[in-house]
Amino acid sequence: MIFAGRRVLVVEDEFLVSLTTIEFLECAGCEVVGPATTVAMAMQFVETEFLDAAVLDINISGDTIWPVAEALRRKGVPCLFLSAYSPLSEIPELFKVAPRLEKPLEQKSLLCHLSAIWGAECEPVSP
Amino acid sequence: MTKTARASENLLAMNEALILGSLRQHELTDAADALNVQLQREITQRKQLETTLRESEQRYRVLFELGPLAVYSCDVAGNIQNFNRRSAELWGREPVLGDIDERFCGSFKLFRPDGSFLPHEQCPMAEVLSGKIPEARDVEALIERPDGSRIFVVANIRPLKNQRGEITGAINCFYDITERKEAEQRQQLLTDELAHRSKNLLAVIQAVASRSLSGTRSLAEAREVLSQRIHALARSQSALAAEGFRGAQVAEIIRLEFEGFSGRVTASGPDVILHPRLAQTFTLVIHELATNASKYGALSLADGAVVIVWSIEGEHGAARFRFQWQECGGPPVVPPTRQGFGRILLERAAAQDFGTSPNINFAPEGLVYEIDAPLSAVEVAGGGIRAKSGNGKVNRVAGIVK
Repeated sequence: MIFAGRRVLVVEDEFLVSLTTIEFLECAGCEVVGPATTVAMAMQFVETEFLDAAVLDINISGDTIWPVAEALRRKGVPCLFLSAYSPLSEIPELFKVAPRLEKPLEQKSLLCHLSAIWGAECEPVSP
Repeated sequence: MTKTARASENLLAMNEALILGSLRQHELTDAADALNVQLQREITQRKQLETTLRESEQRYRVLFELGPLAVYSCDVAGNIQNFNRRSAELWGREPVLGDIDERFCGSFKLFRPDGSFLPHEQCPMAEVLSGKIPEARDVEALIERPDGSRIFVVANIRPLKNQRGEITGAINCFYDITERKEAEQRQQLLTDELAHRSKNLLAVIQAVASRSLSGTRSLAEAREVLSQRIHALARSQSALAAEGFRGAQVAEIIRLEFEGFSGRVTASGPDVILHPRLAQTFTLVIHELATNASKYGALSLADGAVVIVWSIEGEHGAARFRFQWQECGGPPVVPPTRQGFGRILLERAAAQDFGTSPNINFAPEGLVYEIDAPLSAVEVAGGGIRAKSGNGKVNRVAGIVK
């Protein structure tokens, strides 16, 4: 199975919201790293942990996630962005093409994007 | 002819000449008089015209100077010929008339609405003067003043032409729309914020619903628990609304939770405005503690009571927020065995959002739940109204003190 044992970093500053993401990932068989609630915490995970992917909330405790995304990009770790609402104009050019999901998170949508990231076929998500 | 006859003829001739001369003189005098009258009339007319013109010019000058519109004009080469007081006010400076380095606009610097620099030689006035555009209608621009401040303006420019249709100059009327622009930006921020909050709340409800419906409860019980938690979240929105959504008062969250309850709960503490992120979690924590107290704890017995106290200790960077929930008079406390969503809320949610693990003491006399966190992590910037020393105004949550 594409998800089994995959290590996914979750960065989310709101506990209750992170529960959903973690639940979806663990249900699918992934191993969750985190959740990191601050940029500093996230950077630490990026340095020390082996990661297959990362699910990043765009706004973290008043900061934006871009430095973490940049660090992950340099390490070749694919990112998926999560936000309640982020106008396209606020996303750096480099990350405009990365997959972006809206809150509340949909399980099918999350897993489909991760499959695509890890190179497997994914069932079409119903609109 | 005799001498006398010749003299007589001469006299007659001279007489004739005199008479003719006199007649001629009268003619000339009459003509001069007529011309005089005409001249007088023309002079009077001319004077009236001049007065009318002067009065008209004065009116326009007053209009030019006192009008709320900034107005200035340039000749065809772009030299500024005159400008009114309002222009100088908006420019924040007065250009030197006739200075060829100060052409087209009297501002220090110009920018396009998108923020990109606009050299004076390329500004709308320059384009109208060169004929590149026939006129400028409601064109927006950013003026930077010598002190560095910037204002948004709207300009209207019309060319001046001579009888041959050639451009001889142009007039620019412009006004300040900075306030309007700022209002538009505020509106956009509010809309974005609203969209953000709605989605966030739904994400939280999704998490709460998912956890409330899983586990070993019966569906009926789960439904009731979920419904109560959603109502708690609704109350957190009320508490947030009371502070304009910048945060929520600890006292208000507690007051709303116990509104339906009948007595036996006392709560007091200073104004503390929790960050919106924490407000939701704190509401759910209070709701969880209250629900447990009424089901298994102090509030399940007639004589039981709950005392809630919070305070701020220390100052500035070292200030801490201390919160305590103390039950007493209830049945003997038995630590829970189940690791349900309630416990996850009380332990992990609070720990993550407050930044420090809460102290939960299942003391046999009554449950004690305590939070001790840095104030800076908990309260919004600007926070609650408190006296400089001590806690200042203390809220005693009304209606539930017995």
